[in-house]
Formats: sequence, C-alpha cells, structure tokens
Amino acid sequence: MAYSAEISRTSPTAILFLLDQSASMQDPFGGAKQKGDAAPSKARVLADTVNKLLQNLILRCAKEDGVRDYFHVGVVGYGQRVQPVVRPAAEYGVTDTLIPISHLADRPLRMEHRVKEVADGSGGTTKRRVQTPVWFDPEAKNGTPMCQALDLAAQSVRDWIDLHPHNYPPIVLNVTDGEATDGDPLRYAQQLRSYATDDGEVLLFNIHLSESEEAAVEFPDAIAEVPPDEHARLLYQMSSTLPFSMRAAAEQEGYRVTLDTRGFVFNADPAALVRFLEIGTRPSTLR
Amino acid sequence: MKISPDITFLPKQGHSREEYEDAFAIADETWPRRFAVADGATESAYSRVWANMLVKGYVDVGPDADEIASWMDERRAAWRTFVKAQEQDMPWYSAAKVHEGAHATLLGCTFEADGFWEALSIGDCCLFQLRDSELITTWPFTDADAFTNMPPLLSSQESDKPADVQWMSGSWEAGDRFLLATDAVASFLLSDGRAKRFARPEVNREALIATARAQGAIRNDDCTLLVLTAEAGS
Repeated sequence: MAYSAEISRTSPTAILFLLDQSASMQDPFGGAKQKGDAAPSKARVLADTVNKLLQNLILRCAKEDGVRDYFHVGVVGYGQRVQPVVRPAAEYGVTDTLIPISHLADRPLRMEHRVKEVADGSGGTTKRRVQTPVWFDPEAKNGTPMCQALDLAAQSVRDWIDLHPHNYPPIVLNVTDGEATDGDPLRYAQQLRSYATDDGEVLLFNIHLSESEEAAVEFPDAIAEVPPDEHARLLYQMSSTLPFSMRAAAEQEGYRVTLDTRGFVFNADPAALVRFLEIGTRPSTLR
Repeated sequence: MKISPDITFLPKQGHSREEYEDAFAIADETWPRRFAVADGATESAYSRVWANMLVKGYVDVGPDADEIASWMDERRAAWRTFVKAQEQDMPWYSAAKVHEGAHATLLGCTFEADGFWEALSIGDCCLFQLRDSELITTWPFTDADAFTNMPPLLSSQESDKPADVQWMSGSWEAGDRFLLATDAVASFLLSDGRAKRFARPEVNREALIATARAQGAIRNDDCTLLVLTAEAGS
C-alpha cells in the first residue's frame, strides 16, 4: 500500500513549504480588507503561521535526548527571488533546501520572549514566560514566480529521493494568493508529482489565500465543487489526493472526505490556512 | 497461594533499551498482589518517566474507583516536581515539550488473597484471563480492529476532560493465567487463539514476538507482556 512507510530516524520523510512572497501579499486577507480592519498583511499571517508550524513540527520530534530527525524540512519563498528562506547554521555545512529538523531546532533566526497564560495545575492559570522561535520574517515584493518555485522544489525532492528511495515520499505545500506570472504551473506541478519513492509519488498540496469574503472551498473531491474560475481549477488540478493518514486527520477536523479528496483549499482565511497546514503535515505515525 | 510473574519486553526495532517507553511494575511479596503495564506516548518527552510513575504508583497504592482522582493528583504532583528539577538550562524545545506534559496508557490489576481480582485501564492495553487453557476474559478490547492510533491517554497535565478510566473485576483460582499486554502485543494476541499459545509456560515469548515483528504481524512498537500464573504454595 502506498503512503504507508514507517517514519523514523532511520527513515525520515521530507516536508517542503513553497510560500508566495509577491507584492500582493502585503494586502490583508480578503474579508478583513472590506471590513476596513487594521488587519495584518497576508505575508505577516503566513510567516507567523509557518513559524508556529515549524515550532510544532520540532516539538513533535523532540524527546528528552534532543530532536529526532523524523523530518527533513525546507521553506522556499517566491517573489522578488526564488530561494530557501530558512537555512541551518553554517557549521552544519548543509546547502540543500531540505534540512534535518534538528538543525532548524538548534538555530532559529531569533528567539522572541512572550508571556503566556498556562494552567497552574490546581484549576487556575498562571503567567509563564515562553521563548518563541522565529526562523524567517515576512516579505512581499514583485511578481509570483510559482513555476520557478515548483521547479526548485522538483530538483530538491529529486535529490532527496535519490538518497531516500524507500521512504515516505516528500510532501510539498504551496501557499499562494495569486496566479503564476512566469508560465503554466500545471506542467511544473505534474513534473514535481512524477517523482516517487517505493512508497508513492511526491505529494503536492495547494492553498489559495482569500481575496474576497466568499466562503473557502476546502478539500474538494470533484472539480464541480471548485468555483468556475480558471485559476482555482488550475490549482485543483495541480493538487494530489490525500493519502489515508491525512484523510483521517481531515475527518478529525470535521471535513467530509472521500478517496478523491484533494489537498486543496481555495479562498482560505487564516484559520483555514492553519487547518490545511496541520492536515498536510500528518503523514503517519512517528516511530 | 501465590501469583508468579514472567515479563517479556522489547523496545521498538531500531531503538535501544534506553529508548523503551513502555513500563511495568510488580508487587508480588504480600497480599494484595499488584501488577501493572503502561505505554508512554512516542510524541511526548519523558514518556518513560511518566509511564514508570504510573505503574509504580499503581502497584504501591492500588487505587479503587473512589481513590482514582486523588491518586492521579498525586502522580501529577510528582510529575511537576520532576519537571521543576529538569528545567535548568534546557533548550527551548525541551522546555516547551516538558510543559506540554507526558502521556501514557495504563493497565493495572490487583489480586486479593480471597480469589477476587480487579483491574483498571486507561487506553488500549489488554488483559486476558485463561482457565484450563481456555480464554475466559478478554478486556477491555475483544477485537484487534478496535485499536486506533489515538487511544485515551492519561496526561501528566491537569485537564478539563476527566481521564477515561475503565474497571473490571472477577475471580481467580490456582492454575489461572493472566496476560497483561501493551497495545502492539495485545492486538496481536487478540487473533488466531494466540493468547492461549502465549500463555503456555514452555514458550519463548521474546522469540515469538521478535519473529512476529520480523514478519510484520506485530507492528514496530515497544512490546510488553506480563504473564501471571496463580499457583498453590507460598
């Protein structure tokens, strides 16, 4: 059965984020703009969300003896440039886009100190200072070179698969608020998804951040569910169906899923973005 | 009468003994005799410590339904003391992780001298009772399909949701055998009459488990099986 390889320190999987950093990411989410709120930009929300997710992924891998490398992780931004935005410390000598997660854990860009209310163990709450790691800051400039980003992702996963041919295949999560400005991304997406390990093809999931107050279309299982919009349908076609473990995670979040459900969300608000990333990074049980 | 324990435990394939996160405890010197197994969750840190606190706490106290809430409070207080002692000079992820708490399943069984037994379970460890080589109790699961990746767990942190504790009791007599197993072995024992085979005194349980694991019949997880034999004598 595909997508059933055990994920362990000796058999990690890879998770690669592709983040739109085009100029339009300076705008707030669609609904917020129309209400005239002083809402944060999409770029800010996205950076905060992905930094938080990296933190959670590290915590899933953290044990008393350190961080176990269940995942190799990469974050590529595409806007003014197409490049990795998260890099490990120079002493690791790693130049790959996909980095063992323990290397990220050891060296965030900076630690922010925040005060958090936590349970005090006897029914009340107490304030505790927590350290919050930040790996990258928001950016929003120029066009949307999505094709170049998908091409860089394809090179990265191909190299990674050469070294890990039997592992759970890489997962690529693409977050965008607009149309590609450098060509037809479907071709690049098909190329990326054609790479495979013994356990299955590379998974590509896409999420489109909202421009309007329309409700999000989350995890559709037929193109008829997607708005009759060329861009939306293109992203749907680019997206892989969810493997078993992620269907289970989606069901737990209350979504109705079928074997045809795709890892795709159109017109997402910030909450839908969080759910999408959470479901898309649940490949299977860690061992 | 006495209850003689025999323990078999194996860490996950590819893991060292230090990384084994199941736990077991035995108190077979005086009545009531108490035994427990637990399975510390892989995704929490210091799960082994928490699982050990639970099994030791069980065999020391043997809480009943009236005492279980205060018993849990005491275990959680012990956990907080442990965490405080660890807090110095931790990297950020260890500090965050330890504050998330640890989680484990637990199965404990108490035997009274008068032939009564009572067990408690949180999660998916299983108890099997055999008499004259026939299986007479299979609890709390009777079907290998009942296992999921998300069993109820006992958390080291206070929770608004009360722990999902189940209780069972019965009688025992000389010659009875009990098997207490953590989830991977338990789900394996639930099919094809394996519990009966594993209860036989002459079998090499470690070899059987290792073979089953190599064949993929037991999933790669920590494995713990405590076999108890009720015998005449002291």
